[in-house]
Amino acid sequence: MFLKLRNYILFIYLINLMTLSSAFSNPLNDRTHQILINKREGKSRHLTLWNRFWLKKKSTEINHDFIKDMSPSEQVCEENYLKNLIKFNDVKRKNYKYAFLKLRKLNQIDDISYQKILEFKKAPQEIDLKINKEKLKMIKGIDSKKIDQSINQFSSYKKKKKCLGESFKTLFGAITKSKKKKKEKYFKKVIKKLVKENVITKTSGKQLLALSKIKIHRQSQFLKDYIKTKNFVAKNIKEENLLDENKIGLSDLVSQKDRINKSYPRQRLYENYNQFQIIYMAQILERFLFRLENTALLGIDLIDRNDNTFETFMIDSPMEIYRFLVKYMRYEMAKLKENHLFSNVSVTYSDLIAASFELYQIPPATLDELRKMEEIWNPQLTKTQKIVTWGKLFTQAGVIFIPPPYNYLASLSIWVIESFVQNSKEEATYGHSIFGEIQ
Amino acid sequence: MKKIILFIFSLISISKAYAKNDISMEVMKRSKWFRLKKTKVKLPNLTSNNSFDGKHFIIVKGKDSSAINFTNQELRLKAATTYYHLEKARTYFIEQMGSTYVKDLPQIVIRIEHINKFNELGHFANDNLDPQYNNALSVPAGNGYEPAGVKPWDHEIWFRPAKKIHISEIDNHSSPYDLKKLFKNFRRGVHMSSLQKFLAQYFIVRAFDGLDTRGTIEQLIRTTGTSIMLELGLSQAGLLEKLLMRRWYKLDSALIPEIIYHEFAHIALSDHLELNHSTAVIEGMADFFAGKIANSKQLATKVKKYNSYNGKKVKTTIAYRQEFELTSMANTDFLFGLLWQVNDLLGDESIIFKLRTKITTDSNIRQDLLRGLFEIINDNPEIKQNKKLQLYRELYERGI
Repeated sequence: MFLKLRNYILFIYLINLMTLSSAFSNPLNDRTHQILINKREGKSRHLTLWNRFWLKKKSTEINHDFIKDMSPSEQVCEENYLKNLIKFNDVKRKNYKYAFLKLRKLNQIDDISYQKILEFKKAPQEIDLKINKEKLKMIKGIDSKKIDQSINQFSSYKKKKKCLGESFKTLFGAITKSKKKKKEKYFKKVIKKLVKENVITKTSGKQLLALSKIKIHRQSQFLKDYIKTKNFVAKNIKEENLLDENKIGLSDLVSQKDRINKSYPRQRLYENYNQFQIIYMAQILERFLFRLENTALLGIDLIDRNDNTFETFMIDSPMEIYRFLVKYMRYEMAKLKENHLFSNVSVTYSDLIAASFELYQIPPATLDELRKMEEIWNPQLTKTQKIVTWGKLFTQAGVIFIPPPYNYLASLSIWVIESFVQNSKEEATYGHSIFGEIQ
Repeated sequence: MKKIILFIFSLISISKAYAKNDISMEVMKRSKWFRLKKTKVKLPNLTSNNSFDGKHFIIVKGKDSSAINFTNQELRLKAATTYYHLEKARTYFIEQMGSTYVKDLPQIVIRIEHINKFNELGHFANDNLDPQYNNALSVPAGNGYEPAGVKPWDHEIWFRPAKKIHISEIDNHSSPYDLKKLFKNFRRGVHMSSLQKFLAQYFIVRAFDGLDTRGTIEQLIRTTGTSIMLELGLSQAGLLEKLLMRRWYKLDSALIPEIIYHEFAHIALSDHLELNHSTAVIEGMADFFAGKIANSKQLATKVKKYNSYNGKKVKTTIAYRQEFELTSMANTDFLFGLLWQVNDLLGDESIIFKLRTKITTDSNIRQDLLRGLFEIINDNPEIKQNKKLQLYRELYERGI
């Protein structure tokens, strides 16, 4: 009976162990292959006219499911994509770009993943580094102890389930730590010495130099970091947002260049912010939209030193409420500078929109309107206005060379053109408003 | 047998007499290019064979109670025009807006060539008291005044005769030109280019010795001469403005379709917007529906023969000013343009129609009208968040 009980307990324990291990397993294992699928970015900036032409011409037919054939731990490393692409598909090196563009076109990957994977286009798929430790000890001219440690760490990157990029960056950083300038040159020198002294093989040396040449070590963020942040953000999406049909969909605004900041909003978001910052920023816009939707009346109480309200202003004008809420949102945005989470970054309005969209808080249809709202306090000149300004400048300069009275005709022409081309829209004044102009 | 035939024949005759008559007549109508011209149309719902007496409207002259006869050559065109366009306006409100109020309205008396001022008690002011011209008016129903023998009356629309009057007699006339300002801008531009030319030449001469400076004095004389001419022109700008400005004004309101629609719109909206006085809100609402019925962003334009004024246009470039809330500025284009812009954005005229239930005649634009508008929008689940945000932004850009 005791044996039976023991077996029973053992069985229960094993069952629990299995379920617990799956519950606390790396979330990457369960969700990575889903995470790479593009669910937010609209039109890709990489699918230019030129690229689309060549993509069609090359008719790159690849087995798109090769991503699913990759294990979760493989999918976080850039080099594995190229490895598997070659393994399962007959694709030439010069067509790697188009192979992945095709994936992007089919929304199997997003622009950020595409760019990161393509950085490794010329990188070796893996580096099997074998070190001759005895020869390393005898080497002169370089700090062999330091190099020994860093090279050993690098050589076992696969065993430790690390990616080539991050491992190489660590190696490069360790070798060139003492150098402030010309780091690549020093690294090249060290590697060449190691090859010459037969510490490492020539092949491995070439591979390391190739990585240095394409400046992998300079990347601030690798695919693994991106996936980690994205995963964390994804876990914080509210269930009701995912079920709301209006909030699901792609948007060109996050993948195309922002007119004001001249950057790509979603890329900028993931490059400059961590997961906590993204979630925090998203809340600002969410609160603004909620307030705008639900505020019917704005009350301002004037309270004396004895905590008694002696006067109350009730404001029910929809436009006054709007002005107040927009200004308050901008105030909250400015206050981020005082927040320890945002001490080294300057948050833009476009970042707030991208963050909010990433958390499925705003429908794609609303994005454009939210972006246009920025033009209230940050107006941009249109192309026509810029052309007119420059044209006017040059024409006015040219009029100097025309003798009188013909210069009057030239002046008259400029003035007539100005009158017609100039925007005749009246400048609005907000003297009637308590909260005034949104600046 | 003969008796049966006679009976049937008389029945047919009687039924024809009571049937709605569709008679064709010439009316002033907008062409494809928005030109006003005489067009032969059918006048629907007439209950008389020889006068402008219809099921919904009766057209009379001045204070008369009987309809204008078809044989009245002088007034036939005006009567037919008002009758035709009023029927069109009525149909619009019933079919497009689903207005049961308009459907249930009794026959409306339309007075043309009517010069009397309106009196709330006596219906008509004295014949000699301030005769009215170049205008149109929608009159609210009144209870009359029995002691003076004034019978109660229902809603009416009055069209004043046209009369040529000098622009100086109109209080709030304004010139479309500001020639003096235009000349000043031009002068500034010219003097600036002359100064630039002088400075450029001066530096070039200083920088390069031995440059040929002949002709400099000649140039100076030419510059001075043309500057004097410019100053002369500027000083006479006022006179030129007077010559160019329109001096006479007239408006034959009964012949302009948009004015007819505008007046009927007042009646159609009077279930919530009382016709007691003219305000920016009710005038703007009436303008909007006049534009919608006419399917045009312009009202009373391109009719030089009957209207020497500028008319109204949907203008989205005018920014809001507090003066627009005043009665004196009730007839500006601002609210017409604003409501049109809102309608274009929301794509549903019925929202503007429903707006009348949220406001009163004394409502202001900035608070009451907008509050009513957003109440309707928030209650409408079909209007998405992006449209609301766009509306807020566009209203803000208008300066409200």
